[in-house]
Amino acid sequence: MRSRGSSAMLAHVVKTIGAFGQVKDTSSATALAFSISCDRIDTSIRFYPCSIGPELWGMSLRRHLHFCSSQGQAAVSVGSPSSSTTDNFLEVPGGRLPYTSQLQFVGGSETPAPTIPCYRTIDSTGQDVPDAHVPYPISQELSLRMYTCMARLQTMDTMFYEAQRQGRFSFYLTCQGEEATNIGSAAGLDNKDMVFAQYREQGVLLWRGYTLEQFANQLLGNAKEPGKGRQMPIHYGSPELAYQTISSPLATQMPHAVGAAYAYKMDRISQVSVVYFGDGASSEGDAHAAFNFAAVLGAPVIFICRNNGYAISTPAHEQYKGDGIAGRGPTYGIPTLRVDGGDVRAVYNAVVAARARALGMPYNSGGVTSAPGTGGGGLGGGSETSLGPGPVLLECMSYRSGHHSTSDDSTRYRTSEEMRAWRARDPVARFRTWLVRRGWWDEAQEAALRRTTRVQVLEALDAAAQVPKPNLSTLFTDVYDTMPPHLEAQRAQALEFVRRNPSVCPSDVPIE
Amino acid sequence: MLASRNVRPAAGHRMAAAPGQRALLAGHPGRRVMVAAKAQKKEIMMWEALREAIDEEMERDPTVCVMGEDVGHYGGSYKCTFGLYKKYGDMRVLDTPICENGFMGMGVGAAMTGLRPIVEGMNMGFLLLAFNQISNNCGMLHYTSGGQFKVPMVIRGPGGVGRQLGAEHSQRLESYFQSIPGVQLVACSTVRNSKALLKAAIRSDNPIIFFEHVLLYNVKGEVGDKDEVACLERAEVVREGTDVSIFTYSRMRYVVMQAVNDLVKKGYNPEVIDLISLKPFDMETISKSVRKTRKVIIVEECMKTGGIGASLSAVINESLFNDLDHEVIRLSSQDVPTAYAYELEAATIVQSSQVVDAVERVCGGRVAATV
Repeated sequence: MRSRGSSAMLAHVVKTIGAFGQVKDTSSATALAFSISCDRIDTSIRFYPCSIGPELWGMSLRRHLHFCSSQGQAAVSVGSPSSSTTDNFLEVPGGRLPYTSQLQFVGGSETPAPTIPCYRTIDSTGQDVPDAHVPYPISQELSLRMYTCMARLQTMDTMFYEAQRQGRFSFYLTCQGEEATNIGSAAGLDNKDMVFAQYREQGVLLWRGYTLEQFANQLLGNAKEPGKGRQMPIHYGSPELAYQTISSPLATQMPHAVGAAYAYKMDRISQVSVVYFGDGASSEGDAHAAFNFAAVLGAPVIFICRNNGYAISTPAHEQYKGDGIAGRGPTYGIPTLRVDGGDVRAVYNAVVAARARALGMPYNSGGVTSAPGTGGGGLGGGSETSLGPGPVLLECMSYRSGHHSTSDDSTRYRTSEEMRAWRARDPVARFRTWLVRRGWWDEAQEAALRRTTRVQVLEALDAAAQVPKPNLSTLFTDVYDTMPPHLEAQRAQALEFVRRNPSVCPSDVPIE
Repeated sequence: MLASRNVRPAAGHRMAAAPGQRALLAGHPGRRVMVAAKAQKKEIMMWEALREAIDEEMERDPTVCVMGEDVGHYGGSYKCTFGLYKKYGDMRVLDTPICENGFMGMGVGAAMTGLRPIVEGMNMGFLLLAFNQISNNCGMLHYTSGGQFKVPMVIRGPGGVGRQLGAEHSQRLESYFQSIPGVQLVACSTVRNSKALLKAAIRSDNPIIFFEHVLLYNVKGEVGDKDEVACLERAEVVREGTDVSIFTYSRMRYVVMQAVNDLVKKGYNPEVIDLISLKPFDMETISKSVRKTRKVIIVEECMKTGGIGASLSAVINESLFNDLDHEVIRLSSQDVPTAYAYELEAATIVQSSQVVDAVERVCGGRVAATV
């Protein structure tokens, strides 16, 4: 049975063809595919559903029929009304595609896509890049806040790493070489933007106010730690600081972030979600899913890839063959920027601009956008912009100066020359040089900061070591919202066993 | 955990006849208590009941949303979200690209951010692609975050052996999921319990994996009103009896009740219990039944190895050993991929004649009640 719409289309087409000759035969195979033959042009035309209206059909159909009659063509079957050699576009459900008559591959090693350049405002010697575009300049106050956080992060990392080596807890990983990515991005966000981290973003937590005591509590898994000792070290989580509890499998947090952004968009909350992931994690299927979903849904999520050159021992050139992770963004329909991850000012600017773009607000136009932390305006749709909310991809290029973790010895797969060369490009030192040039920082302040931080970290570790571990009976809580009978039974059995054999339970683990 | 009234099925279920199959009557009331029939109540199909549940819960709570393939404009492959996008919009009934792990992860993230997503797998078997997100994140994050983040999701979809759908579309995921700590497994079977249980699942703060059966969507029956919310952890006593306890769930309930028709004629009095809660088991109802009859037959559609019956059998042996007169019998599907051919498919799953045979073996001979 034909729908009303297709009857109207058929009538229109018959009328158009009537201009060329007598319509001989009209038969309808389905509601939307019908054949028409007319005496001047021996052509049977089948029409497929298409997004353009019958008026345009008529136009291109006329052009097509002119062509047919001038060529004296026999039976012609057209897939869509405008798919003829006289037209320039192919209309398919995916969109409108221009034609080419040349057989030319694009992409691949012979004809690679152009490499996306790296945005940078401070060079490797700590000097301003002349004529750099810095839409969000950093004040002295903000610069010092960012620098002290980077320095504290670096010291904290070094000391916690050493503490693990001394056996105080089982595992640690540092973000050495990526301090600028951590702090620059954290500073560019609003404190309520939900962060989904991979595991090398402790700087974001530090920026938002996670204390050294809280870090130490989590590393030691003691009773004060809100995760109740259930996750391994560095798997922090804090709803107050909008930082989701870290989950070990790589890239699983990427669709989570899209889900959170979808929640914000649906409820019209002016917030973005932010997800960090590495160059290795971007190979996971979840990364592809997250990119694609975010673009299709227009979800306000900022994808921040920390491309630090290594995934444990796999160097980046064995992880992908394309133009890194930034090269993928445009093909998903995601606005993308590659940034020098060692330049904290560039990272900061990129994230502030990305945030505005993700919310569908004006950005990058010399300070029109609201400053971070004020929450901005509504989602998209203002008179100044026709952009809706959507994802943004930032690829921050840096180098993993440290080992992958305390379980890794990277000298087994990279040379000490390479590591030495990169240590010389330490982003903390680079920014310090920039600050010193401005007269905003000096040696004495540096020494004092490092000394104070070392003392604070040691104090935090000592304090955390004094706190007992969580009760053994908490092993069974939070599996569900309330404890079901089978877990009650298991708990009773476990506690009863421990009471009968107290030596199996370490002395710093209370039973109940 | 949310608990309301125990839901008893109304009398006289009728299964829509598939081509080439006789219609089955799902059992006489026997001695069980009957719910007072409301003469005016019309019968609806299970897909409509599920749709009503989703609609009512979405209306009641603005944080409830649906995501999955073809759930929005198409209305769902089994019509469980038919027309809901018109009422709630494209965001709350979200059509997703094809990536089960992707949209399952999206659901986890949305749930941790304050929504209550219902994630639909077009077929339960496809959710194998989402196993990583379900196991490592959905089931774990409440625990590993120390209770700071919760994941109030419902993961639902049709599973079970259909009618010649081939091996990949005939998976029984309850066996694979049952070990995951942190998720609850619920299997609906009747029109009434499907609606009441889905409502409860949506309101629960735990992640619930909600098993529907591909062949039950057109079963007709009565439903409760919008306040009827079942208890997710309570099994259903389908038929009280004395001879043997038959534990079953999902479509096998109907197979068992068909066998019960024959068994009653032969003079047996089996007790039939629909497990409903596959994890955790309702040990209160289960042990009460075992202590009464002292014989257990488990009838399930999942494979024998590592199935729900395997877990239930172990638990019954451990906790009710001295209450048993006979070893626990398990009637399960064969440990083979489900063949396409009709006869082979029928041979891989449990048929009612096997249930009759098992009861006869376990209970011994009986004098027939009447001729």
